[in-house]
Amino acid sequence: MENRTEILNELQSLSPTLAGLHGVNVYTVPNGYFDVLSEDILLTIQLAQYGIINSAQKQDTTDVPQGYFENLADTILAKIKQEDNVSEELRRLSPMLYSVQNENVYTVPKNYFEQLHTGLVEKIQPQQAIVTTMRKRNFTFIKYAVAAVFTGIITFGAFKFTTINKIDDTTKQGLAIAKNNSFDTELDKLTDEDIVKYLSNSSTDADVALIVNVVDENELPTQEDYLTDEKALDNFLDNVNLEDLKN
Amino acid sequence: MNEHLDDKELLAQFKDPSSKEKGYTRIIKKYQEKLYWHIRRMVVQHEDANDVLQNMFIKVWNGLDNFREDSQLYTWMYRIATNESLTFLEQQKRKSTLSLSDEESGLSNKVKASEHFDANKLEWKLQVAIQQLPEKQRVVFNLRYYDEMPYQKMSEVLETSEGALKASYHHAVKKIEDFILNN
Repeated sequence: MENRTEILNELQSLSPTLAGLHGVNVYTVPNGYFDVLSEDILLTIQLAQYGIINSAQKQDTTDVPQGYFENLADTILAKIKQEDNVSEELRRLSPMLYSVQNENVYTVPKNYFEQLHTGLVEKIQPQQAIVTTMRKRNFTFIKYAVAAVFTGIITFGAFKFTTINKIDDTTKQGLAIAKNNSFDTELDKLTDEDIVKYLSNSSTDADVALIVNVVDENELPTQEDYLTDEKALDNFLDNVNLEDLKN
Repeated sequence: MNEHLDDKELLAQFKDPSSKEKGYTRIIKKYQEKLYWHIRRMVVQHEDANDVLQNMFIKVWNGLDNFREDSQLYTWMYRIATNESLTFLEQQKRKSTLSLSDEESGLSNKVKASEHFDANKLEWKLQVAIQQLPEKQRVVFNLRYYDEMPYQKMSEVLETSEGALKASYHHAVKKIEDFILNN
């Protein structure tokens, strides 16, 4: 253990200036302070023991008032309630609005709130997309059916303006159908097989029929187009893509 | 004769219920001045030093029953006094919401506000210089310079290695000397 001399020698070697000041005390204490200090401290302890003062209060003189932390939570909550009490605020601002505050004029469907949760859960859960298997569109059939109608009309017209003497049985049947206005009824009687068989032998007509059926009239050449360009119709038809139309 | 009882005898007196207060009073009287000045040099003002000292002795009262005699009473009380002083300064700092350097210059201002302060006197310059030191360095300097405490004991009080304390003290001395010579 170092002795006093060693400590002073160390100081002397480090700083003669400070060594020269050693032992000088610039501070003072009140007269008799140390004479009564122990009595003061003991009295404080005794008062704390008898509950006259709280020793914690004495110990934390620079801290917080007595009971501060015990009541802190309640104080903060009371403040929050005071500030956040919407009803109370409304009552102060407008007693009239306050009186009708709980009146609800709106209704909801029965069991709405009971089922709301379920509905929302279903919505937020990723659902597998519903896959519906669609039959491949049978354009061939439509094409043939439409073409059959037009063919019938054309045939009918042809027979009407040609010699009546040359008509065969089929034509006679067609005329009868036209006369009775039962074209649709008769068309219904045709089997798919008959229609397919017919149209297979007259595909050009079927393509024309398809174009007629799906082309927008507004896109057709106008009268003026025909007058100014004799190839107006050809150009139009060239631009029509049958494959696009099928899709 | 009684005033020169050693710490063991004082502790025995304190632990005997019939002589508890007497033993306690003697402990205070034996160490009060040393501890007061140790605290006073840390907090500067008497009122603050008094508060810290009293709190420190109340803690001694509360903790002395459990005091383990494998360490010295003197060392134990110095540790309490140091911790109480540092806690007080920390509270002061939080209260004033000042930065560390501001707090230190605040202590310097307290020195300058002392009744007999004289900026031309070397001993007052020394006090201002001490307050420029970082807290821990200030403690080390005070314990060594004023209390002439050996590094070994200081090591027990501050729970720091002797080598670190020695380095800290040397740094502190040099800083103070520089401050005094340049101001």
